[in-house]
Amino acid sequence: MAGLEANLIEAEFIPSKLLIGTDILKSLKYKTFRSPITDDLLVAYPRICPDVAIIHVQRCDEYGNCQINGINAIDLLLAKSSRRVIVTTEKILPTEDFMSVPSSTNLPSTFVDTVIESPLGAHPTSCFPHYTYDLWHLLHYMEISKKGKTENYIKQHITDLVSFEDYLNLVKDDVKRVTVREP
Amino acid sequence: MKLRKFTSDEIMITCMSREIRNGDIAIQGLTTPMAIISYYLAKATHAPQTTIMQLAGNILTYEKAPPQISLLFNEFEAMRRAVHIGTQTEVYEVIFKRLESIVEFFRPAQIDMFGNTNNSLIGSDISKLRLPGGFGIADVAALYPKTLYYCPRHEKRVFVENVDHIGGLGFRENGESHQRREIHIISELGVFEIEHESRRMKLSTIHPGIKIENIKENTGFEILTPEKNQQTSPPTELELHLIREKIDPLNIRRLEYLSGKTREDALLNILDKELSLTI
Repeated sequence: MAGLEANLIEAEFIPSKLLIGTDILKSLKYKTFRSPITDDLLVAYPRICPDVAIIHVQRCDEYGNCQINGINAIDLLLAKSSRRVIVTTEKILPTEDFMSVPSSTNLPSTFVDTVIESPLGAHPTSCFPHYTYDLWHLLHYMEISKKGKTENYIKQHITDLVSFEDYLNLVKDDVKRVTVREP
Repeated sequence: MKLRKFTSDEIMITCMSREIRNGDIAIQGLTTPMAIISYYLAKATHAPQTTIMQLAGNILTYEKAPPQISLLFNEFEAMRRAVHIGTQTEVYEVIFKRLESIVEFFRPAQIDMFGNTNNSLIGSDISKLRLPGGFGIADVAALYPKTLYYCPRHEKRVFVENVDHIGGLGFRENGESHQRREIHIISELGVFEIEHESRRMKLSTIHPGIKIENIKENTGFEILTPEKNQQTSPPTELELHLIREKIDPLNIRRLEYLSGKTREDALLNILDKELSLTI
């Protein structure tokens, strides 16, 4: 996160005391240095600048004004610090719909490059309030991975398919299970 | 006195809940059922003003009755009860601002006698067995005035002399900084702390029905014991009622004790029950 935040202020790195003393820092091989102000030991968290971020949202307009009304975790930080941002969305709505609730637009179009309407686009993870995450599908994936056949899963679910519709067709029974029915 | 029957997960949850003071901010992870249950229990009993903050930054709330935990719907429940939808950055902002009030229970794969923990790898070859990783533990463990760990399985492979990889920083043998912080460990056998003077793990209270030999036999290092053993106070009727009937009637907490095929079967069983109840 510090690496992404460095981007937001055009910094080469962010200095912090976090992780000092842990083996995690050793495996990351980040450099440490003495603070020019207090002489304390600091870690230089280098800037991370992703080329592309793909973010799935509940709703946006055709310009990419997004209202993420579920858990957004590091979505906003990712979108703001990546060179290009592709938004996939459960639904594209008319811009007028957003004018009455502008404060709910937490990711504005100024950070977004591309918008693709793709309902169920977060499967097998969740998208509140439309569907929960698909634990059965994830267990199935785990089973395949344990046997060392992850490549088979990738082939069947990604590389052999032409469109996202093909994917949905493949997992349609799974999806039915986790979709929240409208009351 | 009438003896109440309870299981080790129930006394653990009670002990965890009692670490929370009224007004604390409890950080709720994603897949730690016993931690979540203990927060809800505290809020429903002695600490009604506990703020519950999800790792993703959301603050959820409820009045009176605590929510029922779920495998599929924890996120949905949290969203429905959210008073604020935040970001992960904000979780760190709150942690750094309110260090004294933060309660966050971590479950380590390994913990050593100095309170160092590991959730990254077993052995030295990461390609052989890689664990989920420490996530926030490494960032914050050494900052908290009180770092909290829970270990449902008190075994030699969990309580090790030296962890294979330090993620959560406890104390080094030779000391250095972090003078005044506390580390508490709650296991199925007792409650432990890292003693200030020796910087080594010491038994605080032993759970009812457990013998000191049980602890020694299942710990991979020499554990310090007090001169006179104190017993952990058992769960009350109310605490047991809330855990069993209100917060976790599907017994999701038991998953923390299971592994392999047994765990997967139990998991699928709970999922089926959840599906028949909701959606």
